[in-house]
Amino acid sequence: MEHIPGYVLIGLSTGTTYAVIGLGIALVYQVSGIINFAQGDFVMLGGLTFAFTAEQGAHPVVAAALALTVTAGCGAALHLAVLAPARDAGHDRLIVLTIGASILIQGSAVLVFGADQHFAAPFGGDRQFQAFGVSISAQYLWCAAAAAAVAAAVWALLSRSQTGRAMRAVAADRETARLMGIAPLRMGLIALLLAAVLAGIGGVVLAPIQPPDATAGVPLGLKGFTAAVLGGLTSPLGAIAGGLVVGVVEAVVTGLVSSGYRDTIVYGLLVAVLLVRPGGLLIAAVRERL
Amino acid sequence: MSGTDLLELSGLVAGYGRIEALHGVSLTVRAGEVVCLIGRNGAGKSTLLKTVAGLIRPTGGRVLLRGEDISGRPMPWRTRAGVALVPEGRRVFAPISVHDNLLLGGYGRARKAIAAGLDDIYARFPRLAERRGQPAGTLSGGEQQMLAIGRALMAAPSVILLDEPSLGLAPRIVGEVGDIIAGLAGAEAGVLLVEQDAAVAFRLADRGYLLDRGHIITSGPAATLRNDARVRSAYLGAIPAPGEQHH
Ligand SMILES: Nc1ncnc2c1ncn2[C@@H]1O[C@H](COP(=O)(O)OP(=O)(O)OP(=O)(O)O)[C@@H](O)[C@H]1O
Ligand SMILES: [Mg+2]
Repeated sequence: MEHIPGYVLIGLSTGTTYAVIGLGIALVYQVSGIINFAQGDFVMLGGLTFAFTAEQGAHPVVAAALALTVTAGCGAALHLAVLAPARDAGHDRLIVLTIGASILIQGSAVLVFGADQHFAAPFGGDRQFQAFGVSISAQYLWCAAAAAAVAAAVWALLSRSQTGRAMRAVAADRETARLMGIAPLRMGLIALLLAAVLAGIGGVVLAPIQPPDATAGVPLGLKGFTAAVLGGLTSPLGAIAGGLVVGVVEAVVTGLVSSGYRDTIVYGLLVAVLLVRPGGLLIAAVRERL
Repeated sequence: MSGTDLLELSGLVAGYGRIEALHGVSLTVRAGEVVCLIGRNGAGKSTLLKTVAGLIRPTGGRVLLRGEDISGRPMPWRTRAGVALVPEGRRVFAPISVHDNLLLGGYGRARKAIAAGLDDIYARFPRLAERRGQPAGTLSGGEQQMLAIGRALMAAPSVILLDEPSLGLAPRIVGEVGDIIAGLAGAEAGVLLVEQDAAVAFRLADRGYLLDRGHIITSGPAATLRNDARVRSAYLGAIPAPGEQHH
């Protein structure tokens, strides 16, 4: 039991990635009503492009820029080529389309990068820090900083810019948003592009800790989805809190029980929340604080 | 038609998929006028306003704005060209603050124009200024209607379409909203008003049209229309005798 603070710290560290993924899922769901099951594959794509390019000798900044460009392009393509043309299909079928896109992205990644893992060096050299009796890679500080920066940027966009306001208006009442001269499809594109870039950033900072291969996206996507659902699916703030909760639950279970039960517990949590509180557990608490 | 026609509909046909709700409707609104559109439930009044605003694409006929055919224009273009709809049921963005609702009304306009518009709306509706930070969904019905009208005005419209603005409001508030609407028509702007409250409609309107199952069956000056038996039956006998004041 004395190890719990350490496990919580590990959980918060890994949870930052789930928070970033969940944030992207919540954004897209809020604006378009679509649950994007390819969100985890954007993380994989970003991380893999980054690690692969860095292995070829590219400067990390160049590799990161390329990784974000690739994920952004992939996000735009998903919207323009798949979701926008099929927009009249209904949300459940669009969700199936995102699952198809997830498989397609994985397949393309195998073709381009091969089936093997790729490795990237930690940003500040291979350092660890000790706290509460556990040793944690300093790279997690980058993950936490990236998550914080991304959350702040999304908050500023949504609350301070006319584009962000328009995205919230589409979420609140699509038809009336159109009356204001807002094009909901365009807002959907911006949301998906943004989500893809967020995921790309998450993938880049995670790559030195978890060397990515083409299959790395699916479990990340599911945990991000769990995070978003915990947060009520439409709340960016709730998704971030949800991501940290998923990370902590995962780490504590791994530490106290066994890593074998880790995923079972996380997905059990997802099922339980969907059954008991489909509106999310955290959103009510967050709303009360606002 | 005369050069002062702001909005002209000619032979407008529109509906929902296979259901045709308007079967060739013609009407005009001139600058400075409040024109009311009367009709029973289901007559097609909302459909007409939505078609002018661009939410519904007409299958026949034309919508002319200052003489230019805008039937094929997308909604963002119409908003910028000066067509604004205050929809049935107000439809404020409930979770979004009053202030941000107003800013959304100015979507697509220049920053300076939005700032000037905001000052104007807050001066006109001090109650909105007091509540600028609170979610629009927490406003009273009358305040929400003011917000819906203010939001539409943020686009600096010249054609203002109002769909049952007094619906569900307390009688005292109905008078207040009526005064606001009376002030909307100006040198550059005209109002097309759909109103179930006959007293409000005839107090505000200069002219009117009676719509019945997708056809205009009569039109004329408000003073004439209010005594028309068909108009009276559309309002189910709810018209006060001429001269009677509404409070
Ligand atoms: N979304 C829709 N889909 C199919 N039919 C519709 C739709 N909306 C309205 N209609 C039909 O079109 C016709 C005109 O409806 P509309 O809403 O324009 O009437 P209205 O005059 O505004 O009535 P009310 O006074 O009740 O608001 C009605 O027969 C209605 O049933
Ligand atoms: Mg109606």
